[in-house]
Amino acid sequence: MAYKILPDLCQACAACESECPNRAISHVEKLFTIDPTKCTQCEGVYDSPMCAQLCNSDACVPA
Amino acid sequence: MDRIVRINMSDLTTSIEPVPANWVGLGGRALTSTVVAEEVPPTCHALGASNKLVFAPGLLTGTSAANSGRLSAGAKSPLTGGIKECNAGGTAARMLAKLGIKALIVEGMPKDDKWYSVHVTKDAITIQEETETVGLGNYCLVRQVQARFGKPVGIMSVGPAGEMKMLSANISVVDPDVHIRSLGRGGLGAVMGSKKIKFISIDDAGTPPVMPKDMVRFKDAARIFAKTLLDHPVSGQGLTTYGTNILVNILNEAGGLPTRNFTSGQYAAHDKISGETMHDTIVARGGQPSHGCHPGCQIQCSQIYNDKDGKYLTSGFEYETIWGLGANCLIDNLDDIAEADNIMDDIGVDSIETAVMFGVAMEAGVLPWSDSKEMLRLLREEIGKGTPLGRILGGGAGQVGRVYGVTRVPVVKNQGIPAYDPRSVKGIGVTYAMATMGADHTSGYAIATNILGVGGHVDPLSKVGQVELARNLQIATAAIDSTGMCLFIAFPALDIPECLTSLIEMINARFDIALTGDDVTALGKSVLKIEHKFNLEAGLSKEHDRLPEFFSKELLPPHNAIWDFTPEELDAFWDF
Amino acid sequence: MKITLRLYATLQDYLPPGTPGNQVELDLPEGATITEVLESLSVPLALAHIVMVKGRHVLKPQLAERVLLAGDELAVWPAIGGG
Repeated sequence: MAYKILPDLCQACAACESECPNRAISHVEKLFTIDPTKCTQCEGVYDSPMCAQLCNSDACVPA
Repeated sequence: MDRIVRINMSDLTTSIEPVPANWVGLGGRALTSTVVAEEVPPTCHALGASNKLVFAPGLLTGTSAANSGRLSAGAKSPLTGGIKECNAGGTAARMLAKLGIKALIVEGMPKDDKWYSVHVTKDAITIQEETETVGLGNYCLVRQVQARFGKPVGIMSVGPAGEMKMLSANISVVDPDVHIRSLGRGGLGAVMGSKKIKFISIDDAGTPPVMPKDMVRFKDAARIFAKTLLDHPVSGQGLTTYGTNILVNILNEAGGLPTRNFTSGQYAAHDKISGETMHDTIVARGGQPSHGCHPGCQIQCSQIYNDKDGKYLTSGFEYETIWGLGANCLIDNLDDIAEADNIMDDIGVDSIETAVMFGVAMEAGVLPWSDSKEMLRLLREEIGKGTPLGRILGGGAGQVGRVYGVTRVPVVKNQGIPAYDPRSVKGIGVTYAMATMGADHTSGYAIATNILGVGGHVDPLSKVGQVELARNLQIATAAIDSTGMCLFIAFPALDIPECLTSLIEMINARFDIALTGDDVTALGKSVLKIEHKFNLEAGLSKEHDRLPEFFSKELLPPHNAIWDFTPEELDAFWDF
Repeated sequence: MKITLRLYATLQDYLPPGTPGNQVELDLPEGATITEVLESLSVPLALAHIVMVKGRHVLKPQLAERVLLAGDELAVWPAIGGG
């Protein structure tokens, strides 16, 4: 199951984008969004999803 | 960040050192100026082996703080003869921070005629001979280098101007879209060229994100900070929609838009080069009116400007460049100015210095006023190719003035004066005179308070309050320049108290320390004093903290304003 | 009496429809204040951040009192920045 970014909380600070190991996060209009087909929840790379670790607004949550 | 990297170009070796105790609390400009002041003999030749070129990310660079991705570069400037720090966006700073590199110090100089490139990874820093990219413009170079490594590596490079050690040569930094940002002013490109480095590439693969020591505290502060950027109308909307070129019409109205080499404060054709016109043109041609220059930028003040066929022409199209080639040279064709911006990025020259230079060159009769086609030809065929005329022009406004016997040469410490006339915007005039960097509008951006109503209002046409304003702004700027933050956070910082308090809180959470607002002010003051001391020892005295004579003699229409500060009034700037 | 009004940046949207560029000539009653001019074009006063008359700043507290004279050039911006 992938992660998603809650649009109401996303502040478009881009903290998540460059750290995603699968490059699943992109900038659409004024917000960031996760491609669910690419998200592997950072399994095997980090001990928990990195976007959620970095997000300043707790906007990255299980989809 | 936990190490200092030294790149010795005399013996082509690299070394990694622990961070000395007195550098631990420093970053960005605080660190580059400290290193230069400690290790560079102030009287050395700026293009010789004793000068050092120092790159440093800021204290918050690499974290999830918004707008924290700026890279500082410092050295003794061959243009001003004093200390120089530039900062720019792009991708390199964040990568250096993730690699744990607090400063990258380039020292010495090769004895042979070869060119080199440096590659930085998590495992090694290597110097190799470089032939493939030598002579290339920056646009071609960044594509070739990223193709060579098969990934979007960070890049700091010099164009042909830096290879030729021109005093207006800059250092380019690649941005997330493989366009160019510039460490623009003061000839740092010539310093890099003197050390025979064509580019430094950075690969942060395998590095974890920079994690603050107190993550919860950091995130809370970062959230508040980001909100102040979005809430303030300048950083949250104005700059995002229009970029900096919105200033053309304001400065024109205020009578502070230097026109025809600083002979008037208004330009009749201002509408043709205005931010509003630029915005409409960008939108009509399918460009991007908003664009960020580094990952994590929320302000998005940059833009992508296309030509009439919808093809990329330039990005990062700034007010100071458009003012300079526009009003100051009487060129009202925004497309020609955009093409010039592209060429300047490609050959690697400071767009502000070059624009001021062209105003002096037109006054000298090197080319006719308003002749944009000849201006483009001179850029491409003379400066870009290093002909004798090109080398004269590539030396900047002061050099052209001297060569052609021009008296109306708008420079301070030999650096070209940007886009705001000191006579009718007196606060910025004080910054131009007193800044350690030479005529540098960013070092104490009094325009905010003289013209834009940010941080209160100080009448631009009166001397009252200007020295204090310039002093306070320069101190604050020196501190912000050390954090890795884009200077445009200064707009919310001047009006919304939570902006600065949350910024300090982020620094404290990052390092588990307890700085106060007073500590940050003290840092700013200490950076200015270190720089001032270096300049005095380099031979820049208070006589250099002055504007050119013509500002005190020639009235500037429409307000008939004059520069009338006494030396004593100006020297009081240093009373802190 | 006639004055010239220039509205810049996002305030352009408040100019009378069909106005080319940023500038319009207005015919005002004697004694008209800056605030009254802005209100007549429905410009929200909170958005009028930078105001100049003949190139000199007029600060917000004075907008309601400052009386315009024939031939005045009034220019208004929202909060914008640069550098």
